[in-house]
Formats: sequence, structure tokens, C-alpha cells
Amino acid sequence: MKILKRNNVHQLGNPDGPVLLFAHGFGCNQKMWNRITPAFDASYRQILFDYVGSGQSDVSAFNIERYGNLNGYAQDVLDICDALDLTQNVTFVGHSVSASIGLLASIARPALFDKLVLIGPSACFLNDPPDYMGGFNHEDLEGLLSLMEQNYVGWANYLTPVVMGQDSQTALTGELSDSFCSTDPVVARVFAQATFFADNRKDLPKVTRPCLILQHRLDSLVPLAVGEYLHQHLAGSTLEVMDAKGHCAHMSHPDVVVAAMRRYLSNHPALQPAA
Amino acid sequence: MRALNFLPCPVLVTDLHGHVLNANRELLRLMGWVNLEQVGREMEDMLPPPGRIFLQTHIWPTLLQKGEMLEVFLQLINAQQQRVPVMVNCRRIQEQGHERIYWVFFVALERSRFESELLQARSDAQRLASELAQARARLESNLQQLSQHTQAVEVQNLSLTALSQTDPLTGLGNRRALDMAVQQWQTSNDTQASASLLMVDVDFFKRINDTLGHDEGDKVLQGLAQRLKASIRLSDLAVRFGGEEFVIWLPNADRQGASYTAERIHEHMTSLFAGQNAVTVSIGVMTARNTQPSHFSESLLQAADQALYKAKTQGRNQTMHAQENAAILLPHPQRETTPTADKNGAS
Repeated sequence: MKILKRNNVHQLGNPDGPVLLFAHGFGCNQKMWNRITPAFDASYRQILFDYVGSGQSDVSAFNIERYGNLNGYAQDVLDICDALDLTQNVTFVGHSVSASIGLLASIARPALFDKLVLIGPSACFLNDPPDYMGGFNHEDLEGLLSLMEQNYVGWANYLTPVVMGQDSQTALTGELSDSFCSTDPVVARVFAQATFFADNRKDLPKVTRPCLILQHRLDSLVPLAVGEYLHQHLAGSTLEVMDAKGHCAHMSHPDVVVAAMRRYLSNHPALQPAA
Repeated sequence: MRALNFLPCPVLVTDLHGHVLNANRELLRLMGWVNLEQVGREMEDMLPPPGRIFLQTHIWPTLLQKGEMLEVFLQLINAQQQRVPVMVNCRRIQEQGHERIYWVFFVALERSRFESELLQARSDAQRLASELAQARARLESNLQQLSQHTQAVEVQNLSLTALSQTDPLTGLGNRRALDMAVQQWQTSNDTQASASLLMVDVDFFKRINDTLGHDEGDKVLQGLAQRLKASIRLSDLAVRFGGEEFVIWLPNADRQGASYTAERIHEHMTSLFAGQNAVTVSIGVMTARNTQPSHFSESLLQAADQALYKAKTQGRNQTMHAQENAAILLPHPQRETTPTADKNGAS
């Protein structure tokens, strides 16, 4: 119960259907799925949540050490499955960084997952020439952090007391505001660092569950080559390049995403959850 | 569309995917473009990489979800490759059956400068605070070490003091302990206060040593020390003055009090034996007011010593007060085991 409240877990659809677990990406919250879930309402049990620090989660559970690393977010996914007594046949649907988080969760607990749908995944946002071009160099990502700082910090933050000592964790209290995108500067910075400086290329061979990679044709965050890289290194993966521009096809091109998911789900039917 | 050109701020119109449809004159001027054909075909081409990521992770999701986003800070890249800081408002609008996004920009050169200075100042302050915290932690640790060291030295001092004022055989204080106690009493009491000093000497001690050996003699001294301690108040002090001679310091005790203490000593002595023989002591007492600032303990000792001599010559096993001619206490009831006087063993 504590976990369900902590991660603001919501369940939709058919309680007896196979499970779809939706994980939002960096900067947003579970509402980003609201153009996808209606399509699966009749036949699937759909589970939505916010990572700790995002959306309407319990921000007091945020811990800089745990959430400074994608494994901390993967643990949120596992915690939620445990709290719901899910032990197998979960189909994980993750956007962007949540694709990596889902892969990490499936490595930790392969039996829990049936398959994964990865929307706009990237193994690593940083360029590592000549073999891997994630799309950005270090300076770009540092620039993003300061741009975020300038956008979220707000004037109030300039007035907050300077923290004594480097290790002091900024106390996070109160509720996150109801705005769609992340607003807490500390949480946002920690999540951004965990997301954009992650390199999950070495984890790919450890994944044993089948994956659907949904790559945007024109995505300024994830070049086409990254989708191909993932497809090559994820055994049993399917790559589908969507005719979509941007990085949020599930919001901008929901029909394309729903159709691709339907095709994949019908080709890889999930078992009903164990009675 | 021409109306956009009258607006005093740069305006851009795109479709829902960021494809540029229109721009007003102010925007062309801001970006350093001659005409619309020069405008990058995609909105995100106007942004450097950090801005593109922010656009994709924050602005588009919010626009698609909420329909508008206000007061976003971004940097644009103009035709001269200069970065122009701007505040952006954007809103989704239905226009003749088409979905459009209107983007309105406000150049924010000053705000941007203030903000970077503030951020810099804040980060400097944070660094300074952190350095201060570290320095403080170092100081605290040094202080703690110092106070531990001081404590250790104090403990050492205390034990050295105790050692230097202790007689190793009996565990009683020595002359130095006596001097300290008398001095301390003198300085903390006025001239009306009086104190007493008892000089206690073992009768026939030489004979005990000669007949029973030094070990037995040492045992007698230790036994006597125990009995002296048992006879005095907590505030009193018993010291071994030398050989078989002991001194009892009785602060704030008058003659009567000193007599009681002497009596208790004689009583306790009835349980101390050397071989078959009971051991007795002779005691000389001096009581005086605190009127003599210097040589107080010497004069007390001298007077008590003379009284002791008198107690010895009058038959031992008794107490004499310096200001009396006769024993102030009756000698303890004579015991059958009382040694007889002996020239060699006399003491």
C-alpha cells in the first residue's frame, strides 16, 4: 500500500486481462499515456505510475543516492510489481529513459516480464566515436542541465538557503506541483543526470526477454542509428521505425504507436496472469 | 498573417510537429534572416542541442498535453551563429481546421545576464559554504584532539599528584599531603577557626621489628594505618609521617573533638597484635586557632611532638594534649599483654 501511494500507482482496464505496465520518460508523468491506454482498456489490465520525484509521487521518498542511478528507478518498477503481487507475464511499455529502466528491471527479474515495448529508446545519449553516436557530446548535456536550472529554478530557488557542506541532501518536502513537466529543480537535475549520462550498452546482451523497439523516423534526441544499434544488441528484438517526427510518438502519433503495439502483442500473445 | 508583422515581438507559427509555417518580420530580424525562405524548415533548427533536448523532453509533451507552455527560457542560434537568450510563450491553436502552434519570443539579454550572475553567485556561495563547513569540521576535530590531550594530561597530573602524596607501604598520605591539606584549610578559613593535629607513635616498635622481623613490623604499620582511617572523619587526613610515626589532621576539630578521635584510635588498637602481643600507640595532641599565617603546621607538629613525648614518658598507650600537664584521657584500661618497658625497645 505504501509503495502504491509512493509511486501514485493507478490501474485501468480489465482486471483479469494480461498486464501492461506503462513507465513514463524523463520530465513527464503517467498522464503522457492517456492517448494510448484507451485502445487497450477492454482486454488488458493497465498499470500506470509516477517514478519517485515525478508527477504526484511522494517526493519525500526521493533519495539522491538511489535515484542518481537508473537502477534506483528500475527498483521502483520492481517494488510496484511486488506490491501488486505480480510475478510473471508483465508486458513493460517504457518511453525513452524508461526503456533502459525496463531493460535493467528485466535483467534483475527476468521471470517477471513477458516482453518489453520500448518507445524511443537509447542505450546512451553520449557520443562514443567512432563506434557509437548517441547524438550528443558532454557539453550539450551540461548545457541541458543549466538550461533546466534556468527554467525550473524559479526565483524562489535563488532565495533558498545555501546548503552547508557538499553532502547535505537537500530536504525535499511537500508535494510536487501539478504541472505536467517536472518542476522540482533537485529531482529534475538528479533524474536528468541519471538519464543523459547513463551508458547501458553493456547491459544489452544480458537482456533475455523479447523487445519491440519503436524508433521515431525523425527524432532529434535519438538518431536512427541508435535504434539499429539496440536492435543488433538485443537478442530477439523487433525494430519498427515509426513514421513520426519528434520523441513522443505516443503523444504526437498515438495511432501509430497503438497500431504497432497491437501488431506486436498479437504476434506475441501474453499469457493470462496466473490465477 | 500580415497582422503578425505589426506585433512588436518575434512570432513564429509551426504545425504540431514543429514544421515552420510562418514567421513575422521581428523574428526574421532577430534571427538575421532576409526572408521566410531562409527560415530553417524545422523549429528545432533554431535551437542549439541543449535547447533541442529541452524542447523534446519538456516543451512538446507539455504542448501536446496542456496546449500551452509559458515563460520558457531558451537560447536561439541566429544566422551569425550567435546565441540569443529568449523567453518563450507557446500555445496550440485551431486555425481554419488546422492545428497550429504560435510561438512568441521576448529577447531576454538582461535577464539572462542577471540570471547567470545570480547562478554564479549562488554556486560561489555554495562552494564557500562547503569550504567553511570543511574548515569547521577540521577545527572541531583539532579541538577534540586538543581537549582529549588536555584531559589525558590532567589525568596524568592527578595520578602523579596522588603518587607524590602517598606512602607506598600503608597507602596513607605522606608529609606533602599533610602540608597541602593544612595550607588549604588555612587559606579557606578565618582566624576564628581551630584545628587539631594528632601525632601517633607505635609503642615499642623497635622491639617488634627486632623480635618478629621487618615483615611483621610492616604488617603492624599497615594494620595501624587501617585503624587510623577507621577512626577519623571523612574530612580528616591520616598520613605516615615517617618510620612508625603517624599524624592525623583534624580540620575544624576542637580539643574535645580531637580527644574523641584519639579515644577511637586507642579503642581500635585493641584488635591489633604483633605475634602474641597487643600493639599500643602513644598520642600527642595540639589544638590551635588559625592565627598563624606561616609555619602553622610546623608549630602544630612541634607542640604535638612534645605532647607525644610526655605521653611516652608517662607510660605510653595514652594521649597527652600539648596544653595539659597530665593525660587528657585516661590511658586505656591496662591490658595484660601490654609490653613492659625495655631500654632497647623503648620508643
